[in-house]
Amino acid sequence: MNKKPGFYQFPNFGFPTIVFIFSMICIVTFSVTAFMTAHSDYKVSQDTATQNTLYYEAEAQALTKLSEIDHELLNIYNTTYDSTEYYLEVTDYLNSLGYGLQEHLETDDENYITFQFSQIIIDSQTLDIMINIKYPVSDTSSFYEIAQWQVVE
Amino acid sequence: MNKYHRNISFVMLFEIIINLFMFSILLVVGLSFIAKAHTLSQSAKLLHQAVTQCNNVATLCESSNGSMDMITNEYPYCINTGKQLLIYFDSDVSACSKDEASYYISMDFSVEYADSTNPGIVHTTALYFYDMNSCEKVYSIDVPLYQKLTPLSREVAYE
Repeated sequence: MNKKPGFYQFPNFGFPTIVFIFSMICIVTFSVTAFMTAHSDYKVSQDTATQNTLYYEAEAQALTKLSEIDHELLNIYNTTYDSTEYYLEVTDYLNSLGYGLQEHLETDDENYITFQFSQIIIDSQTLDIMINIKYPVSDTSSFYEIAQWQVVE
Repeated sequence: MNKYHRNISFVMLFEIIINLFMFSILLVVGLSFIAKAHTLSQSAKLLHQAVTQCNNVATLCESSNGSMDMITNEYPYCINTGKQLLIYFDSDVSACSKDEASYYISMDFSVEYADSTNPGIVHTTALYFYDMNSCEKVYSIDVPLYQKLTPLSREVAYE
């Protein structure tokens, strides 16, 4: 088993370190990537939840405005004699609100006032609502119908 | 020559021991990151499902206009305690009976909400999504409800 003269045995120094460094790079890369992905997923879920909460807050404010309008429509209905006077009073009331856009559409078949207003959800999103205000045809008819209820970017 | 070989073996053994030691330390750090990632992922999934289920119930509330019929039809295992409606969900966040439940939605409704003859007022019903294992609230929303006035409802409106 004598070695030949001049034979050099490779000492294998550093080979475990190279394997160690390579495996650690793999593990650290994988774990950090997994963590970052999960974190961004969680952030997206939180943003969605916050967005949803803000939507319902905006909806509550919009319904409060609609409730005020609804009460005033009832009040106008009780104090006017016919639909012509009703629509005139409603137009004046909507003008006095200081927000929203209104348009009186009168044809042979239909006669109603459209009123459109927006409720801010966040800076870049609004809840756009459009209602058609009609003179109630019966005691069980409502004073308005919702024509549009839309989140706009 | 033997002394030389012994030295080489000793240095290699020392290197392997040092590497194994560092590997175990970094492995613990890496695994803790993976464990945190798993927990975050589970939380994200649960939060998303909680938002979805609360939205489903909220939509039913809004479309049913104060009546519980639509909700009890959609969730036949729900329990009405008088002040709360409890809707149970299993571990996959599908509707189930109370015995199999891992989560539940508690829907608090006021007396006015149950009274559908009270239009013209914006009622709010609170929805809470709870994890039954940790007893923690995962998500909650306040759902506004409004029933339109009619010429007939004038007496109620002016009360």
